[in-house]
Amino acid sequence: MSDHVEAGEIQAWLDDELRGDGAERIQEHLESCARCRAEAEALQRSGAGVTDALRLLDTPPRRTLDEARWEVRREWAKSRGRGSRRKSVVAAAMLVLVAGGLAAVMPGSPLRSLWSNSGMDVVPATELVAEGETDRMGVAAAFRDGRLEVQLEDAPEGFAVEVRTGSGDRVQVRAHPSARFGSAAGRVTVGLEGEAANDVLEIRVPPGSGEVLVRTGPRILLRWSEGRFELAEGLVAEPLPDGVRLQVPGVSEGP
Amino acid sequence: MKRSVDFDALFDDVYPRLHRYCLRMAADADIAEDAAQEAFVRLLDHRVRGELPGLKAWLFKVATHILRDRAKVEQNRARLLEVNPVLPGSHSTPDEELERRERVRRVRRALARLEERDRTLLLLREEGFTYREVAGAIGVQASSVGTLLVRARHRFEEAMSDEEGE
Repeated sequence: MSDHVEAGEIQAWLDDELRGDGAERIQEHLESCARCRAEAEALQRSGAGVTDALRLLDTPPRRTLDEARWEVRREWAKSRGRGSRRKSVVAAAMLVLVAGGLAAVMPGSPLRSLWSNSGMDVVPATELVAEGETDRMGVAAAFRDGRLEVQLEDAPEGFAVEVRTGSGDRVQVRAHPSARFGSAAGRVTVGLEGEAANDVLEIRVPPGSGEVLVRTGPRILLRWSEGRFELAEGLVAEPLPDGVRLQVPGVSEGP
Repeated sequence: MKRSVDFDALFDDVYPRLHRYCLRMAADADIAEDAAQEAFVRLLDHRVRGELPGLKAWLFKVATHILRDRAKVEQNRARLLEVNPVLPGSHSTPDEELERRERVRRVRRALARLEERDRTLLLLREEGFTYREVAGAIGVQASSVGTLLVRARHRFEEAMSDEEGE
């Protein structure tokens, strides 16, 4: 073994990457070895020189942090929209499978009658198609780690997520700061516009005590209850490992 | 809204450094900005989760791949070696500005002459990544990063000397 320490080891010591005995050994050696001490000083100068040289290349970002963040979210929404359109035919076929699957676990209880039984409006696909130019919107909902996450993409004005409880248990809903919260007995409503229309909601409902409705105006698109998702008729959807993604062809603001 | 808050905090913390890394790596403001933003778009798209250090390493790794995968990067690098961005607010004299541009050009050339692994190692280390994180990014053992770093710096200094001699 050499009487001196390898440069790489000294560098690791300088970078505080050595622990315990290794760090102590280098420390003790440097205290007694002028040559390795000189090497350590040379390495420090070299590092500082490289840092200074690289700083010459730096220019401030042209966008502010807010602008860059907004651009990222916009690009993300656009890319998902492009992906959704490409997959529309496949997704339509999947809808049949998903709807068929749900019907299979609820024999004799087609989705429409299920919705009707809930006392809420049903959402036939034809009513969701707006006249004229209306952007698609997307909703992805997934249940993981004891909470429901609803990812929104370009939700229109009037879009809301409603959490209903029959037990009076406490629910927790976290949403974008611009979201509008409303509450009544057994119900929390979150209105989503502006930045919140492209964001994520996190909802915690105690087991067995409530349901979550994703709706636009009075029309329900999706219901989650007891860890199960149910779709309104006619929506294009694709299954996720732990949820479902809806592609709504176009949503008008009112009937 | 845990995820959104986390994303904003992550973005504010990492984006400036990721942008600087991409700018140093790609030598082009447009490419750097695109790569840094694209990395975050992919983060959202893949619903990547985790603690800050892991997410930060993931973003830098993805940005490195984005830069590498761009077919025009090499051509751009060669072309943009001649590009000398002007820092806003510079009050230097024309002579000083000329000298600064020349130094920028030399640094870019020296960096471009390094092997990709050395360049990535140097730039990641400059952004404060640990040896373990750097090792994961360039596919080596963490215990060898110190030695590789010393060698990469040495090669960079040699390249700088060559550029200054030309």
